[in-house]
Amino acid sequence: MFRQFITKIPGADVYMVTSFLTFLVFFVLVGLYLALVDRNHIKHISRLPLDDSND
Amino acid sequence: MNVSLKQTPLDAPGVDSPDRRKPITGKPVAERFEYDNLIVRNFGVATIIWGVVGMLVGVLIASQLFSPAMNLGTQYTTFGRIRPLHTNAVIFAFVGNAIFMGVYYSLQRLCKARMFSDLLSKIHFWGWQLIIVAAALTLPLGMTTSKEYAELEWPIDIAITLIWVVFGINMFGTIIKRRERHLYVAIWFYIATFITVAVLHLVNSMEVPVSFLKSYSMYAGVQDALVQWWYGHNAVAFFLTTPFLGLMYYFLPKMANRPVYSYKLSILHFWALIFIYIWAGPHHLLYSSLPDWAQSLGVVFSIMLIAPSWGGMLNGLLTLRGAWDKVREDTILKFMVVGVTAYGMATFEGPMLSLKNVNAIAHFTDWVVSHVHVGALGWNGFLTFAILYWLIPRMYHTPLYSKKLLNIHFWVGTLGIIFYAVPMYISGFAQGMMWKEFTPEGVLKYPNFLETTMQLIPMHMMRAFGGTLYLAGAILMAYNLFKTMAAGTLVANEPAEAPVLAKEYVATGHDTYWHRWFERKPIPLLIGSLVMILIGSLIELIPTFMVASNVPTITTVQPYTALEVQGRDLYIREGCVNCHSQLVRPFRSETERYGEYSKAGEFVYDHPFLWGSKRTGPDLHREGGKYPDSWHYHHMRDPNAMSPNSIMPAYPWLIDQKLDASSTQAKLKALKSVGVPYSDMEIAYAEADMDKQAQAITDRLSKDGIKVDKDREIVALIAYLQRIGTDIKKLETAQK
Repeated sequence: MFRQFITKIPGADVYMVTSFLTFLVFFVLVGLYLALVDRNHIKHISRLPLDDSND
Repeated sequence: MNVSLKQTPLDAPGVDSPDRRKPITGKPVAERFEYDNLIVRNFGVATIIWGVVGMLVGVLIASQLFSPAMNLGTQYTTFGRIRPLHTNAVIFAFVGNAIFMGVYYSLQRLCKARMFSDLLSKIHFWGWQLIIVAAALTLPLGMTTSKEYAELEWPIDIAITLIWVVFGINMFGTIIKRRERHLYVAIWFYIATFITVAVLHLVNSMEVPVSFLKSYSMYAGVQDALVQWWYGHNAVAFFLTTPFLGLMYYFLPKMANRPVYSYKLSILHFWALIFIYIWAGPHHLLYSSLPDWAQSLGVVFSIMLIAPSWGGMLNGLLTLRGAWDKVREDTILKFMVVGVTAYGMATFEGPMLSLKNVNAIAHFTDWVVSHVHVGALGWNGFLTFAILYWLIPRMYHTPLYSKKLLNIHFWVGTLGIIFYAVPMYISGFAQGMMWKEFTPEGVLKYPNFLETTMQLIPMHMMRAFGGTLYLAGAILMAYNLFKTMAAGTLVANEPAEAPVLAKEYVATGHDTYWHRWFERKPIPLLIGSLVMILIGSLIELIPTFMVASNVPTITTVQPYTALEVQGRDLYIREGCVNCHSQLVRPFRSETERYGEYSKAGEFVYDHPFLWGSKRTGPDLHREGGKYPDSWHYHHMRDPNAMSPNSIMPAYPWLIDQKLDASSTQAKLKALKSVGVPYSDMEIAYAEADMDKQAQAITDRLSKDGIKVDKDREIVALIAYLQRIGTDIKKLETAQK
């Protein structure tokens, strides 16, 4: 199936694979960030909806 | 309803000024300000009213599918014309107002700031309501582009663009003047929604105007189909999903009084969702004339979509981990749980439906209708109800009028969803299988399409019952909430206080510089979201437009004649595309039933494409030349005369109404401007050509004993119906 759609358009393999890789790299970077981020900081942000003393 | 505008001297609404700053010992300088609850209330009331209207129209069209009398005998209330009214009302009026209600409430609180401009809020509110009214007037009048969920004509499209920009300015203005440094993930979803809907709307609405309320899509055939379903699919993604995920991330923690289960997961699934969603549109066009590579891309990304979708669903449900006792007690949380579960079900089913083997059965059937309604009734509807029930008593500082009615609404609504969805699944599966069934002798078991329709009538009745239950629940809610409003007093300007943001921010803890930089800035977030959605969009769309081999030309395919163009516009006006596809898929069951499967090159002059997405009636792509003109005349006048027990409404006005021929030249000129090769001569003599073709049709009708003037609409419609899908037959003849 993959072979079918990359061979039907000239040069398609380059930008389709590039886009997959872009996403993969971005996804890995987001994953890395999430692994390294300070837990207290995340805890602080996750509580933002609850910080509204008006309710 | 009472509105309190009472202010303390320091609390004039709207504007924050430095002189109101109040030092608090040991803390940064605090500012007093007010949240604008009036705009939230207004969007809330609009949500309730349009919700009831949209659902009422839904029940009406559901009943039309088993009782043609429910078309009410007027041209303004036929299924073809008011089905788009239902979809537009529930998507843009009900869900749209609900989004704005939730965003205006949560954004102010997450930013610890009043909305950027009260004036922009008002323009946004009234502009959006005017657009809805314009839709409610134009759609029954048959003024439609025929592109699903984008039916509104070009002046309304421009109004939508302007109002959307107003919303954007108001949202970003609020974010910029915020008093909370960090942007909570709900705001990320709002930003992605704003930018993506803007891109989708602009690209899909490219059309060339013919007159004030008539236009042609700039794209033709396969390209138009791809753009439309790139839009249509992502309207589901970025109008019905991402804003509601944002609302879920704000309101569910508020309702359960606990933070979201995993904030990290929310970030991961946000980026994954917006990147992947945009690629999945072609799964609406499987086995169509769309190039294989584009179909395959759509399938691959649709399957991948399960992961981020379920990430959001699980994050929502797990937020209630350890708090399920609250769910037992709190009906509002019950609405949220059913809503989020429906989201999980619909987002699992969606990828399954995009598998080619499943899609071969489900596409064009009630199965897809059921799938859509699990999402709409469960996810969008129930979340909206929960938010309304939670917000209104708070903004009116009074308890809900009746908890009993709230509880009844929950159960009536849930039963409504079940009575809607289950019969539609059965109906869809039965329909898909009947279309494909062959006898042992190798012929179609149900060669008469109508026979399959008749089998589904009981299921359609049950669906209408389910829809009525759901509507009854919404009416109960309206009563309950309006009584609540009457009992309380709206705190239109809710006082609040928050420390001023220090201009220079010093990062502390172990966080990386980049994270803090990115997560605090709305514009990079907007650009990041834009880049994510553009990658998929460009890769899917550009090759289909740029590479000629994607749409092989067929020499015998010629532009429509002037009369056929007019007939096609009547087909569009009457919304025939809502029940009839024009796309024969390459299955033996379809070529046996309809004829040669559809080729991409056959649609090169179709502005807009009319492939359709549902077959309540049979496909019409090989309709041309199948029956004599007189058959079409009798069939349009009274479908039962030619197809006993048909559920198609009658169109007697087509026989009485005179065709507006004055628009013909303008139409051909507009079509020429988007690439249809009409010569100057053809345009100059359009009316004469039309007259000649109409005369030939009336002569043939006359031979069958039918007297009709050649300037009547029915003649143009017959001309078009007899032309559909016939050009390729000339090729076959030539090859022989």
